[in-house]
Amino acid sequence: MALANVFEKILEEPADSFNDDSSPDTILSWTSLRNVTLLVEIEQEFGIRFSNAEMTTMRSFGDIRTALEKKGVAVS
Amino acid sequence: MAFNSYVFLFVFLPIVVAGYYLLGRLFTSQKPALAWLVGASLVFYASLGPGYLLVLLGSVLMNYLVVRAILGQPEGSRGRRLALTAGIVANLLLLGFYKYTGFLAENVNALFGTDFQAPTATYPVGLSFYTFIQIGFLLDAYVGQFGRMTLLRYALFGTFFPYITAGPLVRHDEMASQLDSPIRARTGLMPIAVGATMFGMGLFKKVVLADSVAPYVATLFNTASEGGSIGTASAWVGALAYTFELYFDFSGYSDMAIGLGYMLGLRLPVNFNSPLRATSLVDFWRRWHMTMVRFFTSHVYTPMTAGIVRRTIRRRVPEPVRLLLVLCLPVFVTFVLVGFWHGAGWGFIISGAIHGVGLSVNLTWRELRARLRLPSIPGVMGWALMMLPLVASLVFLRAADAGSAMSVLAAMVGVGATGPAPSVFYGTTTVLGLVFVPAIAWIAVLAAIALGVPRNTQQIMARYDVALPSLPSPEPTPRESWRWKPSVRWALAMAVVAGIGLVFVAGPSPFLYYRF
Repeated sequence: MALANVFEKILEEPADSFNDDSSPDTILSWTSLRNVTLLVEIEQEFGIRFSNAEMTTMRSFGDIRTALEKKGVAVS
Repeated sequence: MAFNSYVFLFVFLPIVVAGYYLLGRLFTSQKPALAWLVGASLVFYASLGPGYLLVLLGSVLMNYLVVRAILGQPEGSRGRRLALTAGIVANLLLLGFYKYTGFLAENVNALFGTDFQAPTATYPVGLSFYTFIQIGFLLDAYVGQFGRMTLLRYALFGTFFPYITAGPLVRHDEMASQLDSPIRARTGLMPIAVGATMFGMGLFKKVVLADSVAPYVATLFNTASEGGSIGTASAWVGALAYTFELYFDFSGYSDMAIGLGYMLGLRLPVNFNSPLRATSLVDFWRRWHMTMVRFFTSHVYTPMTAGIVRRTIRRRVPEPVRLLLVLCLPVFVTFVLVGFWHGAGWGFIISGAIHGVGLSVNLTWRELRARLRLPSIPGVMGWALMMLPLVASLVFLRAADAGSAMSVLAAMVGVGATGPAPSVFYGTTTVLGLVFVPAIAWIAVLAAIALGVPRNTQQIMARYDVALPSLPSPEPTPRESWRWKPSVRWALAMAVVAGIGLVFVAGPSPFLYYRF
């Protein structure tokens, strides 16, 4: 599953509505509860684990994409 | 020798800055200049109380050894985890010995009818702060995110005088990355001008604005602890006065710390971002004591929330339970700990619990609003909903004990409020034939400044990036007005602000956060 599709599944917004600047400030359904759910779902989908520091500092789609790439996950 | 004393301002600081600039330019190596700062920090801390220096040196040395032990073990190993745990426990024991043994003995005695006596050691100012700075460092070192470390650099990180007494709670990596560039490149006339301006504004906030209402706050809370009667209006005036006092005191302190760091070529993380202009409690905690919130978010709230979500995601947990477990439980536990960190007493725990409950309600509302696409609460109403729990929690933070806090709150809601009106309770003054209550006049002035001045101190200094980011927050729209630049007009304005501050330094009062 592409990264945007995980976002679509959890945040209930169409996958093509996300870009690197998408964040809790721009997307109403991106609440704190869904933020954690989203990150844990991404962990399971891509078989990685975010550190506490990463979980605290990532604030946008772009941040999450960059963090995944650093872990060697190819994000389409 | 606090920041707001003549000895600090006219003897200590000029010598430290001059020596540091000189050493940084005489030697190509940074070592002599950094050692100078370590020495200065030790002198500063030793001046605050007898015996303090031993505690600080003990803490820094112990943590340096723990970090070596952690780094000596392979990542993910049991030994590394053990070293981390032992280090955190040792830090908490040191803090507990000075801060919590009295409270513990009191409660054990009350519960079991025993008669334990707690040791009567004076609490070393700032111990909560440098203990948590170093616990944060151990946790960062454990996951390998801490930057380059040497004994000298670590000594500076653990003792640096701008932040050891009351924060900001810095992280090692954000300090270390700055030390990588030469002192010459980070210092000069401009950093001194910018840092001094920031410091001057902070000094004004502390000695003029915060200290102006301190006597009225003392009147209310002393009356409460002596069991005197308090009227409803008087209770509100005193409680609001404390809200503004604490804000201007601590944000003023933080501006001074950031200004000092900047003069020495080290940017510190931002601690306040106009919190009283927030329109919800969640928003408030992104703007108030931001480096403490960052610490608790990274090390308590997020791991706890993620742990719960990881456990519940595959199981079919009913929605209300999930909301309670994931949204409310972590934030409640986190803020009870935040309250307890501020001090050993039930009042502090209750103060944190009020925020825990308020934030739970706020987060649940946000979740429901997103889900049901409900309209947002108007700003003014949101502000009132933020202020009510905030003022109530601060009454618990300031009152001598939970009992007197309850009597102030009871008076605020009109229960048993038989005391005198503010004009009698706080006194009146006559200026040009006009009779007014200074307590109320000051609150109006402080409210106007906190809510009405369009830019806060770090936004005024934004051209020079005076502080590091601490918590993610939306960027304010860049505007050219209200931005400091080296010009005659700004120099005059700042001379007035700092000048008034210097006059009021004559009667230095301690920073409120020295208690916590």
